Amino acid sequence: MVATLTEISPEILLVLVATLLYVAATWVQARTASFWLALASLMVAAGLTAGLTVAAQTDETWRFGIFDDAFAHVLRWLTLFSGLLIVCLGWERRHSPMAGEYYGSLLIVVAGLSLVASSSNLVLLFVSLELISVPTYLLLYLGRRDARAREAAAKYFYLSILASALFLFGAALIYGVTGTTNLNEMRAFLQQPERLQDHVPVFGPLGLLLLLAGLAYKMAAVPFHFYAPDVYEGTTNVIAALLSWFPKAAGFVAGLRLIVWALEPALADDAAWIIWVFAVVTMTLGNTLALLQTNVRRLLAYSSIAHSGYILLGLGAACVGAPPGAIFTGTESVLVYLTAYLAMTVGLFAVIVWLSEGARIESIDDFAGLGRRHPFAAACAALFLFSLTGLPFTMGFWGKLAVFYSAIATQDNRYIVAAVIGVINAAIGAYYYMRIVALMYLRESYTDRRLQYTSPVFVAVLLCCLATLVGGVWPGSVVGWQRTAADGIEPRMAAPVAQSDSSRARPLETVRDEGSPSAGAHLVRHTNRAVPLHGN
Amino acid sequence: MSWVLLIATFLPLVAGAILAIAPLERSACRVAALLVTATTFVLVTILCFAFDPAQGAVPQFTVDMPWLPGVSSVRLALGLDGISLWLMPLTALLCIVAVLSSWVSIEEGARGFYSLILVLETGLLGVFAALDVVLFYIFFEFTLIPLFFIIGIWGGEERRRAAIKFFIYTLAGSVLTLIGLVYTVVAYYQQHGTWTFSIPELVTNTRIPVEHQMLVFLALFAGFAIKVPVFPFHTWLPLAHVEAPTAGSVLLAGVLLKLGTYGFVRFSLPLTPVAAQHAFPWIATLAVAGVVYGALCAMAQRDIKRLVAYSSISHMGFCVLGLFALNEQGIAGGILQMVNHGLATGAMFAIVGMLYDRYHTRMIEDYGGTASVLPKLIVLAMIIIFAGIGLPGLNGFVSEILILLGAFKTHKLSAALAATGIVLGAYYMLTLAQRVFFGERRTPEAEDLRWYEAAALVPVAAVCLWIGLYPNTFLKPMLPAIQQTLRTMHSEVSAEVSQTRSRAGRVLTVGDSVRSIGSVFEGDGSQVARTSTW
Repeated sequence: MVATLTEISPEILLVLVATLLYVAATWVQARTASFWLALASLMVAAGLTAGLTVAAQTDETWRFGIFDDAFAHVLRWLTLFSGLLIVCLGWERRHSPMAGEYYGSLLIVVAGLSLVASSSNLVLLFVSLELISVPTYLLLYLGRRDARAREAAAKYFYLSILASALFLFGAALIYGVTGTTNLNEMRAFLQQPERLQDHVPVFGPLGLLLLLAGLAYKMAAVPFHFYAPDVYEGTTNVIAALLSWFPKAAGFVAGLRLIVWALEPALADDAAWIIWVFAVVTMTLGNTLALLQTNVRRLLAYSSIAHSGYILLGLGAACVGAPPGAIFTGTESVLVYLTAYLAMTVGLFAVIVWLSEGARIESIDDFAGLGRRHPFAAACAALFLFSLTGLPFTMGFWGKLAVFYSAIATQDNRYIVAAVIGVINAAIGAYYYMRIVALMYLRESYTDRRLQYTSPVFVAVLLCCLATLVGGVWPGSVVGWQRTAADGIEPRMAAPVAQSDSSRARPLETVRDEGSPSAGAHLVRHTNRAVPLHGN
Repeated sequence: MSWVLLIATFLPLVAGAILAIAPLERSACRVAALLVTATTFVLVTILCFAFDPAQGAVPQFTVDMPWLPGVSSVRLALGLDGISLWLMPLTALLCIVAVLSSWVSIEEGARGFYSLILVLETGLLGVFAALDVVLFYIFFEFTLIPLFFIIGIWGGEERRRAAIKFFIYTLAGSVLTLIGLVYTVVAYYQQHGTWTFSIPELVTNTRIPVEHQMLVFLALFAGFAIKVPVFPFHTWLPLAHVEAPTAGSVLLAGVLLKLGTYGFVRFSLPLTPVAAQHAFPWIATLAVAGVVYGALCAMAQRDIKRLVAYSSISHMGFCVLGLFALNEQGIAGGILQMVNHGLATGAMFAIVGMLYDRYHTRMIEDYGGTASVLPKLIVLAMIIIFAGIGLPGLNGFVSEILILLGAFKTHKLSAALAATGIVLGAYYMLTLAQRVFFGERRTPEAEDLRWYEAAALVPVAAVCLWIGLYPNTFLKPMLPAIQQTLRTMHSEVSAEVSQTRSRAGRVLTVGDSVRSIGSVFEGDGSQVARTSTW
């Protein structure tokens, strides 16, 4: 029990500081101080996390609701990094009367995502997801106070409640099937075919579908995406940045833990089908509708929907399973893409927030001529847009490569087709991203802006730039890190020992049947679930 | 020598990055860019002399380093074999031409312009030198970024539309190529149980199942055919070539189009031989259509730059026809045609730029009798024109005759139809020369050949002569690589046939392709050598 509390000490700290901010904001007028307090608490949380990461990992904490594995730790670092970015972006709010509530809510969202990654219990997982949603309702009201903002907040609130209800219903069904809310025990239960009752094939997939529907809302996957464009447009740039990362990441992280790991033994096949449909529809609709947008935040909303589609492809590939020695497993591709997505999307929002210090950025035409006026801001924005397009030497390229590779490597015809649809979508996506690049560099400017090169917003821009470039040029720096995390979720099979030239010409079928010992173990899992490409 | 290759490939990128942030004046920028491109060219030339032609089939000067920690199969692997060898000096030479041809014409933002040219050079060299599929694709895609800016910022009136159309069109194709390449890697894994991204290993040892070959072929074809461009996919080309600044046109026509044909030789032929065989009728149709259509369009142009752009479509049609003839002469001619077209068309765009710098017009009717005003420039221009139309003694002749020989062996009608392209080519280019260079003098006085123009054109003309007079220097290292490719194709096709036979108990139409590929080996390398030493 103590081990569990120690394990979540960073999150406890963040929530405590948030509570302090809520309460103190009523009396104390030091608004800027709450910004620095939020930043400091993130630093302390990072320190605690460092201590926990270094400390020997305890095996038993999962019993009390918390995982203490590499996945949880890597995701926690990623969350803290994104928390740092989002608090830096919140710099513009330091003088507002609601500053305390604002930064406090940001901290709770960070704590929520961090807990999602380490929850080993369905109930705690649901609470962590709510920990992200509830402060977001508040933030949507705090951000702006006009009719559009109210509409956005109401829309987000009602649909979010619906999604939570769906998730809970799904969780209840899964509990009914497995008799436990603990993910570890759930997996163990589903791994024993003899204990699976007749109702598993009925209620299992139904529960899975409902869980996925709840998560799809967080990911903004079609058909649960309707709120995204309106809410993004109706709120501030900072909150739009928050929405584009925290709920989405939570959805995918929960998806990995819950579906790819806990429910995988019995329900992976159903999940692969459901996610396939989600992925294909989401990326196609997101990209085509993004083509029509002229409002920056609406465009980025559809772009974030499209990216959910790509990541779903990775999630689906993770359900099918990767062959031994694969360069990227599906789980890994999700994590690599999420990391890239964090840097490029939050980075682009950071540039917009930074530019908004001088003048409002609403339409994409406001980007016109940026290349002349603010070469550095334009270069950063161009880098993020290239990354979103998936061009080489940016982190986004490796994200796309990982996702498409893992989809094809499943050797499952469905996912190969989905990969083809995915790359066509990537080409469509290139149009609306490059349109902004063209506006920035190939047109004259209409407005003038002055920019500060010292504000925390600028620091956030720089950090995202650095992550995008370093991850793009030296992907190993990021990929190696994600690999340790992914291995816990989807065990990686060792690559078969390289064979000599004489055995190279072995026909295809024999490899499938024999394989090397390590390969064989996995191939059983693989061929049971996937439709082999050349099986017959 | 492998470090020379590594330095030659990445020197321009590093220099370009430094140039982008260094506070230099315009004149200093262009001198720096010239020095870097010249150094790269010297390094690449050293490699060409050090290349062992007898071992042309295996990559030489190989660099092989792990790049993705934890993933030993994705590597930073570079090397040159007979197929890629001559495309390296072509790129390096044309980059010098690009820098020199924008010596005075680029006034605004010179720093950005030259750094983009240098960055682009690394992208282009990297595509030809890459021995790893991921690395190849990274460079292949990366070339789009600098070209997008070069066209979009320094281009003509419609530069924005041209830049975006070029970017989206080529990206749409190349993402499908990515799928084809990744699928190949997976197919290799299915056969051998190991993962590799090494290009030589993949192309020699991957057997893609016959029933999937056409799909893989089409996926690869999508990206490469748009880059070439093969006939119905050419619509981005006239716009991009005409709107690009001179340096952009030189590199677009001279090198970028070769990425497509290079991809055909490097991947499409050895990976999907059966599909390539089956596709020959319609590929030949498209190629011949491109040859004739490009030539007819070129005849109708009033703008010199548009004329040269359309002639590119025609010449690249030849190149594709040669490659898909699937015999030694055809492929050798196709690869040589890549170099020749790069030299002739690249230089031709540079000449158009030089005329434009002087008279600020590209319309044919505004010119007349320039030969008497600019005698030295026009002498060089005539050499380039003759090289382009395939006058014996110059480079174009060698590759065209090889392509026609190769195509004639595979399919007589397509060779005969393509030959009309040569006649039409001679017609429109000579008409152009007559109207612009000779005839009644209509152009005012202007300074003749300047030093940087001479420095740009003389080396190109010299190489044109060299290839024309002694093509063996260039063909010798290619032949082992081409024979190797054909052997791979042959063994794969025959293996597929025997498999099909044993499996289904009947012979599919694949049998015909074996016969026609087999016939390639009747005519050995000596025939190529004979024809080329005329």
